[in-house]
Amino acid sequence: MFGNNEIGTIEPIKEIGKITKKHDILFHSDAVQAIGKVPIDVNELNIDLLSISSHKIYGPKGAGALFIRKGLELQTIAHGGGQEKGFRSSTHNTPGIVGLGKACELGKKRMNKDVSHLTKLRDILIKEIQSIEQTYLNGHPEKRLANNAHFRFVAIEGESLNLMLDDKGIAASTGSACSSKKLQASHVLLAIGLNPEEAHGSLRLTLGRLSTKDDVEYVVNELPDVVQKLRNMSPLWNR
Amino acid sequence: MKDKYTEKVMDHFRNPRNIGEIEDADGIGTVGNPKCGDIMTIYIKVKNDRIEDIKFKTYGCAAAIASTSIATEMVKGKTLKEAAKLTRNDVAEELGGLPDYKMHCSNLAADALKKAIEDYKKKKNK
Ligand code: FES
Repeated sequence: MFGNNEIGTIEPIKEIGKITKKHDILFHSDAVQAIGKVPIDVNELNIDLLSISSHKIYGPKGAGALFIRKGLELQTIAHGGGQEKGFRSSTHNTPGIVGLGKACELGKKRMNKDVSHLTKLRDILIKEIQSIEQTYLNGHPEKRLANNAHFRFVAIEGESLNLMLDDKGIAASTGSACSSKKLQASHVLLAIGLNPEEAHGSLRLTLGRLSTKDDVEYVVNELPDVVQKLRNMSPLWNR
Repeated sequence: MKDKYTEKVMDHFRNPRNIGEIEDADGIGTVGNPKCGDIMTIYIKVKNDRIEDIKFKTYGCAAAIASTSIATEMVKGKTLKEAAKLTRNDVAEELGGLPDYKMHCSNLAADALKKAIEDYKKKKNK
């Protein structure tokens, strides 16, 4: 992944690209989260294949694209009418394709503005929320997507936290085991070295082009009380 | 996200009854959930073999919080014998049902209560 969908960390794609090139390995990167937020030059980064998705850059849902480096021969998985050079049979989703193209065009133009707007808001979230006691940021402090802030709160569980925020009109998500049907903590959080208890109290907040400073201030004002309410119920919280 | 829970679950989750601790509790039961890592503690105060007061603390999902809340309500004022009979199905039923994969949360409430009762008996027989 170019930018992680959960914790927002931007991976060292350039370094990976150097290694794959040196060893003659094909390099595919999933840039669904990163596109429109990070400049991506497939040549400079030695990326052979790159996936993007339209709805993440304000394009129509249901369209995506795979960049394939010239000369690469891929195997077809959808046989039939032979559309899209035989790679993806079935009638073209023309509005989706055109929409994705337009979204890329606009996204590129707006990227700087978007990123500075998102970064400003994200940094308010990070600064204010981290000031709640026993609260930590997950993911890289700087090398992270401009729209992503991810936290963990000691002694509370993410699903309850999410539901209480939902009551206040705040939509978030969590990597807690309780919120997954398999009752397993997020593999991403475990992979960065958190234990299941730490993953338990995790919260992801993401921003978009339409998010405002008022939105962020509202979250920052409401969140401490919700966290405290849950901590007051928790046998692990003693103070 | 809310849709998976009944109104009753959400009510007990939003306004849990009997939340807190009892400082001079006669029995305390703590159980942890091996499945997802949650923990709950139930405190009871017993008089004439009846649960005179009951409080709880839960670290877990909405189903876990609601289950403990309603369980404490169901057994408050009951005799220990009656209270010990509480099962996870009773708890889930009283909540108007729980999603399948959340049934283990209601288990915890019943187990924590049983442990608190055992703890009381142990202390009494000393
Ligand atoms: S307590 Fe973890 S799923 Fe309910």
